[in-house]
Amino acid sequence: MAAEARSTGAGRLTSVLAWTVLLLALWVWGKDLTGGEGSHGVLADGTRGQLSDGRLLPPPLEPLGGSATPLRVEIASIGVRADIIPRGVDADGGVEPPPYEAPDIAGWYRGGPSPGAEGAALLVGHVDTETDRAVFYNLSSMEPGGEVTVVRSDGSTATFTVEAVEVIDRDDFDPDAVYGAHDARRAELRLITCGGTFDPDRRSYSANVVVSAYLTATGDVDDAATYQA
Amino acid sequence: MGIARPLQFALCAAAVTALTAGTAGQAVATPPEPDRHHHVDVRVTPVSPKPGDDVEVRVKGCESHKKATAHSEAFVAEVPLGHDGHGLFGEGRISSSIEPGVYPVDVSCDGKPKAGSARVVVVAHGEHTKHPPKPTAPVHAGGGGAAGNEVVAGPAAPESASETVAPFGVTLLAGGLLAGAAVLAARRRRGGGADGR
Repeated sequence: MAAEARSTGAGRLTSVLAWTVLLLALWVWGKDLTGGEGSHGVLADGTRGQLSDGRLLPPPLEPLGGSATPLRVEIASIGVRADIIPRGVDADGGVEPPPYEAPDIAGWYRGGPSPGAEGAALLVGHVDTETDRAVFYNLSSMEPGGEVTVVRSDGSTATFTVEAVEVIDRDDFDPDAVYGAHDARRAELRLITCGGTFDPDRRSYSANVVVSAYLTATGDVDDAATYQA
Repeated sequence: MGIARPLQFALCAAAVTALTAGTAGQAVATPPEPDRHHHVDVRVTPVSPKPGDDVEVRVKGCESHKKATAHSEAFVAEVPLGHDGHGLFGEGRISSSIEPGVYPVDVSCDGKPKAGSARVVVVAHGEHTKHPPKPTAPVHAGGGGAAGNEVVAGPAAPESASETVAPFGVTLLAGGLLAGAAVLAARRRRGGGADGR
């Protein structure tokens, strides 16, 4: 009799309640694991980068709104802390970097999205000048999983996770693949400089180094104090 | 397809020459070192103004604000700096007649004429038109001065793939439901003899 009572009525209710609580807890925990930082949400069904060993990179966040422009780019892993200035396109159709006389500055293609907004934002910097290393000299040593942070004019910061690092020969350059988004709903970033081999007769490098990344964290410039020298 | 290779490289070389020749007459000896190694940090906003634009100068690291000034060939006049609670601050203006180019901005304070420096990249008025053409070609972003190093050539492109994955939370929930169903089924079988089967 006692055994029957336990398997009906109060016993079953307790069981249902216990399972409901457990499943709710699991759901909240799972949501938390896949959530973005701060108050900014994860982009539903956004493409996640993947390492060569199969591990997944963080999920993409929803793109940021507003009209903020990029002011600084910081890449701690390769020691880059550089101002950003708006640029256009040079006579050959490539995004124009800043002048060689300011080799420590990066350029942002002002005709495209701002870093953190939806689409592929483009940053270009010199690998070297005629005599010295320049701002993106170490760009090619970045790896998938690395992080790039951009400080924006509205006081926000956008942090991107690198998903690919490629060296693309000039002859194989596909502008849609390089300058276009891989997943158009994400906020993406390209960092581009020269690479390959240098031809001194033509005074030109044979390839472009292209780092592709997507938005995975946002913040406030005051939190990280990244604006301090 | 498109420009033949020799012509493409000739254009690249010409572009590089034009860049360096066009600003050769400007007063830039060497670009200032990145200011993280300097005691005095100087920031000019915007970094890339047009002739006639207003600029703001912010300085951290000067001990005293007395007689602190920022000066540049690109400025209309010397910019006096005063305290603003975070460091030193001043407003200046780019000369309307200055040629586009890179100009150092020097800050004197604490009795030192060049306690810290930054630079501005003055661009011509047409540069900030709303809609530049879309980029269609590789970038030209290297003068060859550091060529021949392994790092510049770039690593072999690592294999990387992107894929969509079911959110982890959904997986946990499904697992929890399955586990719960299995336990409930097992319990019913054990205690069900008395209910009549």
